[in-house]
Amino acid sequence: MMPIDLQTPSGVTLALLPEILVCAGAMLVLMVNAWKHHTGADSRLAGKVALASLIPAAAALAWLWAGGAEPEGRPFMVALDGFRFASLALILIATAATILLSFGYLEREGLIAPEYYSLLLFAASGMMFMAGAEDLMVLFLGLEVMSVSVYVLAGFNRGSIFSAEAALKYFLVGAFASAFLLYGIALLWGATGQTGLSGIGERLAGGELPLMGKLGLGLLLIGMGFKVAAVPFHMWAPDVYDGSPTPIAGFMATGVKAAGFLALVRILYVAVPDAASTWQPVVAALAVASMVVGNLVALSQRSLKRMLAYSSIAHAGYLLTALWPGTRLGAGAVVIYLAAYVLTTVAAFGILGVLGKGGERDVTLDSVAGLSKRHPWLAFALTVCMLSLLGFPGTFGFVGKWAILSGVVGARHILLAVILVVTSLISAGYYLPVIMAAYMRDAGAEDPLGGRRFDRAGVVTVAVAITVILVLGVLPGSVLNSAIEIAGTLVRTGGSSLVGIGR
Amino acid sequence: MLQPYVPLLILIVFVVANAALILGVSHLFSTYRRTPTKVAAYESGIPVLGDARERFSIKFYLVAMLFIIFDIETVFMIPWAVAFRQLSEISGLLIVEMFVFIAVLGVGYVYIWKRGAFEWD
Repeated sequence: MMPIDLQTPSGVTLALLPEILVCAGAMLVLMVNAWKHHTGADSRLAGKVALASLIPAAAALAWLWAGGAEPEGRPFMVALDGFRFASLALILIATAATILLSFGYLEREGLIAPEYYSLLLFAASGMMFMAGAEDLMVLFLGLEVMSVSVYVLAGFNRGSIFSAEAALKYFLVGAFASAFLLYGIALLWGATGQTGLSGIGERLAGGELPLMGKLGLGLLLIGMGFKVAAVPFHMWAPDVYDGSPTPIAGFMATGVKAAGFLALVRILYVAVPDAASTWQPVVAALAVASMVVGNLVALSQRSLKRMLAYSSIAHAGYLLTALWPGTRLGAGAVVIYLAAYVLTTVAAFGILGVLGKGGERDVTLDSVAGLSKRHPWLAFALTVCMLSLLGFPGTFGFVGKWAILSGVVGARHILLAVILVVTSLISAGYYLPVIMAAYMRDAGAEDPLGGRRFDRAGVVTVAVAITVILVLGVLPGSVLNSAIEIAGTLVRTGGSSLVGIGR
Repeated sequence: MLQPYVPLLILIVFVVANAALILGVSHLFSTYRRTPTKVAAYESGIPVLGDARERFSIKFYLVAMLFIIFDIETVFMIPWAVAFRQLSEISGLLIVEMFVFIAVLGVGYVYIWKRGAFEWD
């Protein structure tokens, strides 16, 4: 155990070491860009520096986590618990994978974009602040740092009007959502006189949430709903994912969504756990709407990128279902489902990025037809991704869905569980045709890769992700137990083991 | 429950009524002499050159944006300097914090400088 006094400047610095190191890395990359910004090789250099600067941050995180850092006295501004450390680890993994997948993509699209990597790191630092915030103001600052960086990244392909459309749309909707969120924070502060999450929780303990607090919480949920693309706040997502550079679309679907959900879990579970009867119906309604609309609309998509965008809306619905119970199992299910979803989505967008022919807008089912004959390994990886997103047994995605079901059924909300299973079945209607096209249809005259090779960094990233998805899909015991343990640092009520597993 | 908000309500009513009164009275009792100069976009005596809705070079936006960023951020130094003496027991920390802030600002400054944002052509 390593107690850290968060009231002192040195204590806060220690607690925030991973975030500070990522920020420092971003500034280092910026300095590299200042002198080297002319050629593709300069871009690669910036990417390598960015990747290297994640290592000290990861080391600091490992040191805090292994040392069992915990706040001495009251928690203040930033959380220090296993849940935050797991959140940061997830975000660092998503960032590293995005950087690795970007090398080949930027080169192929001819984008000389050294600032790209610096913005990625700034966005990552914002996500880390957001996911680890113990105070609504820190959460808001983190959200803004993340959002502003991602707005720019969405429009990075300056030659494409679709990229510009994505950036503008994301910016307008994001600014709108931030206003909701900020007003919600203001009202919650008005109702409780606190902005610290545990302070709000103490003030509201056991009592009824006052009207102003309800309004604040509602506005907060709307703001977060926009950020994680939950129905009915999802309409920006398909166009933005479609127009953005593919690795950035993947980053939005993994990093931004993960940071949003991790922050949401912390708000709902730490600040307003006693008002569960107030927020649970809202969360359930958002979850059902997201699952139904996301999955049904995904069925009719031609472009694989848009299909994945709607699938990510459906996954926001699954994640909302996961956090619905408000128990330890619920928080554990969010962690484990996010881990599965991040790994799978990173790999899926990585494969999508390499399939595109000079702008990947038109990657359709026809583009993957007969992929198994030309590129058997790529077809296999695509298959594993689709099965994991579907939640097929033997993949990590199944373990995630099962954890969600375990939590929801444990909290006795059978209807939500039934809707999750039914909508997952519907999702087979758009995941399986991809596999069928890759294996059962004849290859077109044109090679989908067009003679290009999947660059080594991309291959390694996708291969590692696929391996982890398969291994954890078959042997989920240890990761399930540690997810429940991590969740236990946040909430202490509710079941301590999943149905059929655990100690 | 809503008792504490009554003064706020009175204030809102007063402000709206006051504004309506001022505007209404001046509307009723003022005289109008419309001349072409008066309805022009500028009343400063300078002849109108053309429409204001034309395209400006992106460079103006860049300069304006950089100016605002650095201007607003340096404004942060003034409250720091004002509060410095009252917080003398943590002055060492305050100095370190300000130097970190200036270093971060400096990184941005060096970046836009080397990137050529200060060159007009």
